[in-house]
Amino acid sequence: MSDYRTEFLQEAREYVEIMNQCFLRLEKGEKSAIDEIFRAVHTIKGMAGFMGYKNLENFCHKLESVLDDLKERDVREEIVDALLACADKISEILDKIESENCDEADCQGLIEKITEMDGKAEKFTQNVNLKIKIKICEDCQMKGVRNLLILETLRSVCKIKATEPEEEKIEEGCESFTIYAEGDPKLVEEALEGISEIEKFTVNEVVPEAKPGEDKVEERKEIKKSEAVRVDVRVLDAIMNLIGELVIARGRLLQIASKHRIQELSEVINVMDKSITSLQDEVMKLRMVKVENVFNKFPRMVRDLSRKLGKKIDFTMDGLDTELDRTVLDEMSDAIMHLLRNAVDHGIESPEERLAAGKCEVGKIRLSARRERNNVIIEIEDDGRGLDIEKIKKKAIEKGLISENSKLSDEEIKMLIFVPGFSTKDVPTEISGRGVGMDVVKTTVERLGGSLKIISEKGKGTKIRIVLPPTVAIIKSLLVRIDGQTYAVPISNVIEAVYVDSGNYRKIHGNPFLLVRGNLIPAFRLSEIFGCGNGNENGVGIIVEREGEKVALVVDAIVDQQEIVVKPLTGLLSKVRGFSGVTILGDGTVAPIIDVASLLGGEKFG
Amino acid sequence: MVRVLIVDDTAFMRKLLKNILFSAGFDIAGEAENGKQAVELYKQLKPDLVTMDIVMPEMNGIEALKEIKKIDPSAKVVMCTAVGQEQMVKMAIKLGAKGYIVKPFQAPKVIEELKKVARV
Repeated sequence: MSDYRTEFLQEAREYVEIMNQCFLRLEKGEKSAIDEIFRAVHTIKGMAGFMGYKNLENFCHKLESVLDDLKERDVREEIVDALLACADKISEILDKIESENCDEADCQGLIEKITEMDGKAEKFTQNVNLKIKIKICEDCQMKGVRNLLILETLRSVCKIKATEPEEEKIEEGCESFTIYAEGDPKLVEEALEGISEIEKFTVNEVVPEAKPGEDKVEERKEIKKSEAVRVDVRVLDAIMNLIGELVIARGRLLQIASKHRIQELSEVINVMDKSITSLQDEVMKLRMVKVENVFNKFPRMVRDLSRKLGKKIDFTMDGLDTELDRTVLDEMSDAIMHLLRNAVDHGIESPEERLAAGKCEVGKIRLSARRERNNVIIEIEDDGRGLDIEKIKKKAIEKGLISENSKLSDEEIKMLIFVPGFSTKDVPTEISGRGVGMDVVKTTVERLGGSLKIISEKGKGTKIRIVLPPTVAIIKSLLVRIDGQTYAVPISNVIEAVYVDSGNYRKIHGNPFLLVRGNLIPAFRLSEIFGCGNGNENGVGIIVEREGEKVALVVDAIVDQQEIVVKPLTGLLSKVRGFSGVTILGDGTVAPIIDVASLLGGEKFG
Repeated sequence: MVRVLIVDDTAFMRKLLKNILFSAGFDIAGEAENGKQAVELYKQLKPDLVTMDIVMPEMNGIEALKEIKKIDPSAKVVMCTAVGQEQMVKMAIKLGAKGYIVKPFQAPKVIEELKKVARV
């Protein structure tokens, strides 16, 4: 049974996620969401039953009956709150199953709470043995008359005990309603068969612990049939790795073919080359997931947070089907979450403040993703108070991050919020403002080879734009030579390359600089940093961006520019700073990939 | 075959209903121009089904329904109604009408209703 556990957990979690999303839709008045939630709970219940997790099964069962009765009622905020708490409880139980293989959890409080909500229906069931649900056709003329006809007809075969909504409402012509009655289900069904314009009806016998109507179960089954196969990410990584090996082998074959001038071999390699390239493309596609997968948890978070902070927020998401490499997406998840928290906490003002500023009481936050040429752009936009340049500047001076007389452009000042240890919120709240986070966001984005920009206007709002490469497994890079060894520099970091000679390479106070078009750029001789060089004067300066400023990496020569397969450093090597991984080149040699941020970020390279 | 008694004060409506019913395989037992005639014909013909207009001279549809129900409590009467007559139809249903059709008639709806009521 434990073989199924991982799959059970994974799938159950997906359903909890669906529940979360649906609850929010429900809150917005989308009644159809209840059916989806119902299906999700029902599925979890079924799986839990199969796996023998009795407690979870019972809990879901209880939840299911509440949901069933919710269909005919107005959904209030408290109900959604309670239901969300239930969803959380399910995840909690799932976590426990994962860690301890036991589903013991204290659900009593919640069960009582939801039973209370369910109270009305519970009362009916005491002297009732039938629950009749009816939905009449949308195009039915004189719905009230039809409903009355149904009620009158039912009265002739059974005793109507209660209805949901009230009978008066039904006679006014609502499209669906539920009747609790006492009688013979067969007769009731027969009577209903004789009435036209009923789209569907179900007659369920209500006995304690009864299963919900059989017909409904079937109805649910056909809805969710996934056409996808579940694959462990590690398998994809392994395949990607193997393709990497193939690419390398291809390179070696190419070298052999050209060395020995074997025409036939070259042709075969060309064919192989094509297949490998398409194979690589396909696997890359496999690695791509829709941002939806991660974004979906955000509405819930924003909702909870805004309620906690007493803010009114309209949160929208766009471009949910934009695809991004799984690794990139996973890593970005926390960063986006942090930016959203900031938007809710710092960006959007309180309703009073907004009204005073002549804005709509409800703040807007928009999260969007889109593909732009070779990049994926993620934007987090709010219409809140915006960044206060003066305040940031003052704070930065206070914190000693910049000096009083430093001349920074507005752009540069805005970027200061990403500097470690910076936080302008006077009193840090529980949610954000601990001064950690924003810098982590920036490093995450940069590590993934992306960049980040703030567009903000005081009083109008803030927009943070993140540009990401769609994948990290294969990157375009410059191959450079330093003291006979080849290194790779991701091209996303590179701004330009210039020749270095005694004319533009200067040492000022012992620190080397490179003069590029009249600007002095700090220069780093990689051979010196790596401790392997002999101080060769000439070379090539590769200008890269580091934390908003340009620096030059001086190398001996640029060898080539090509796509490389990144092999991450593992084990002992994973702690090495300055390199994000290695790649294997066509001739089989290993080339370290330089990670500009961590290479120069640290004080001393060890 | 289901035998239907058509009750309506306008010849045009009777003809229209007759055509619809005929095409759906119903048998027309007879036609009445008002409630009084309807009650008489019901006694004579013992039809399986009655389509009953509401507003008619001499005796209206509601009264006729009451009378017919007195003669045969299991009589199947379907009310013919127009928009705005909801309250009248509701009353008819409380008095035992088994269904209703709405003018202007939509043939499929009329057929469905009558078939359901007649249980065919």
